[in-house]
Amino acid sequence: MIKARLRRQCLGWFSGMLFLLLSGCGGGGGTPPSSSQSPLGPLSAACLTAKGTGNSSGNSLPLYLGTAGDNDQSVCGAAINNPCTDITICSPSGSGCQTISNILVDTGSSGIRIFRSLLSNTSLLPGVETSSGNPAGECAAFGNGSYGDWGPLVYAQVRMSGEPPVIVPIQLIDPTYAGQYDASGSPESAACGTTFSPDTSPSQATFNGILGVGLFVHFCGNDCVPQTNGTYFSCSGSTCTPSTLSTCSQDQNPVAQLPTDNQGVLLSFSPQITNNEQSATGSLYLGINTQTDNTASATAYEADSSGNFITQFNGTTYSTANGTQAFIDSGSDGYFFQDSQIPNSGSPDYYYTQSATPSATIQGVSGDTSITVSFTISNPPATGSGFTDGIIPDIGFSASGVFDWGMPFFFLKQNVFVGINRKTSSLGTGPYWAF
Amino acid sequence: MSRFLLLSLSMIGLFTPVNPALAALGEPETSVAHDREVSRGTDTVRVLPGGVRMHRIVTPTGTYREFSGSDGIVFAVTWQGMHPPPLSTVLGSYEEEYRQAIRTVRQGSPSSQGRSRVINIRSPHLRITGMGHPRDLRGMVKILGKGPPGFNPQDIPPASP
Repeated sequence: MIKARLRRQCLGWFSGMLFLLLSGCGGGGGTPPSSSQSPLGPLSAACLTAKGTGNSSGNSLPLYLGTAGDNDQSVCGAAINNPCTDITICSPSGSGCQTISNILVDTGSSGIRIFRSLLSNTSLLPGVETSSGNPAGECAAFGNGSYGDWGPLVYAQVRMSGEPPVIVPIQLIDPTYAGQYDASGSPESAACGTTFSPDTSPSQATFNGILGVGLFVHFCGNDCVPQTNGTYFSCSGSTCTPSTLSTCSQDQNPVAQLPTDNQGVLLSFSPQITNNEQSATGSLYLGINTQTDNTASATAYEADSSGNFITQFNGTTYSTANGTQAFIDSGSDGYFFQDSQIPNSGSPDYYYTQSATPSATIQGVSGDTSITVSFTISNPPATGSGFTDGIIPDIGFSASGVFDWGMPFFFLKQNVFVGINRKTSSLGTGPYWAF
Repeated sequence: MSRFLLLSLSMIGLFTPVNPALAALGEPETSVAHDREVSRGTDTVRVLPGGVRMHRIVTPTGTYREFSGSDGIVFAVTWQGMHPPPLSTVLGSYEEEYRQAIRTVRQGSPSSQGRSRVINIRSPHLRITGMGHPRDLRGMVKILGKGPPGFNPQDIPPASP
């Protein structure tokens, strides 16, 4: 069924592109952005997303940490508490498929981004165009906004486990796209700003790509539709100008497009990881309470539209309303919180160096549910150049203004659900975390 | 304020040329007005205990705040949103030190570079912190040794002046 539908869509797309190419309008009137990477396919004439249809023959993806599975020692295996998996990227018609490993599973963002240098099929991936008809570039910022990923948006068919394929815009990570940065990340025209440090290689980023399976369908959402906000750009030649972008054309959480398993995901670690290890495995289950392996026996804690809930710790309430933050995030490698009673290593890492057993209370933003969570902090084994283990379940870092329940929280709770905004499951309607 | 006046002010901001010589951090507070224009934002001012003046500027990319001390010099900047303010302007003469500090951390040893959403850097003259996820990024840059002792801009709640 999906094949027939995709065939119809792609036939229409190719017919449209043939017309545009013959009429000389395929480039949208602009000069194609320059890049040292292999070329992209032609621009898409229209928003080209497709929800999967049909039945799932498997909804489980492996989670590899440290040296486990097909993790590359110089990529995902080079960073601590770094959960990675594999996904398959094809052209919208389903040809030229490539399976990419070392993809970071990130519950703190939405959408797929992959280093362009790893894909040999980019000429089959049509570019996303802005309303001005030029190719769309994206500045995906993380942390404090001064680092992240720059590169073009393209349409791709994405295959995860045995799920029906979906077609969504994805970002190709390429600092040299449209001449904005050089290959080492130094600014040229610098769409993301001259102080922005773009990811330049898998070994530097410690991932081949990111599978963002967070709380929201779209990376940016409606904030990027009526006005520009520095996320999307319209690029012609080596000139990129801020642009709006419809949600349909934005990079987005592929799970939300699945026909059945679209409510969110479950990250599961069994048996529980309690000791420092060189390798560990877990599972990423797509969907919530839709299959025998993602049954939901948990309490949901609602998040707000900013992607935060509430955490109370040592007399401080961390919440959007207080100007602070609290969230659960597989893209963070430790617990991040402020406890002046626990000594830390100081610059540059500020990790806590003394054992402690703090407690904090998590509360949903509606106030209906709350739970006190006790967790353990230990001094991590480290050498001069870094930590000596790939998995450190008790690592904590000093940080003010935030309570970030990072990857150790997933080890502690073993089963953590991420409910997508406006998607309803037996646990409630997203956005929420449940455990 | 009338819609016409608001529109006029925003148009002035839109077309005011960027002058790299005018910067906020380490510069007199008067430069804040220029930052507002460059970022096309609206500015409100609040005087905090200890005489610290806080400008709160709302822009399409987010909200940022600039703090100046009794000497009238801007000593800290914080931001919240999907992107920082135009840092090449806001950081002034500290831009290169900031850029190098971020770059050093991001290009550093993978096992200690902080793959996380949180960064915490002390460079020769700056304290740089940041946290969050793509829909809610937070950041702060503060000149070391400036501002009232013990004053942490991130402790100031976001309430409007």
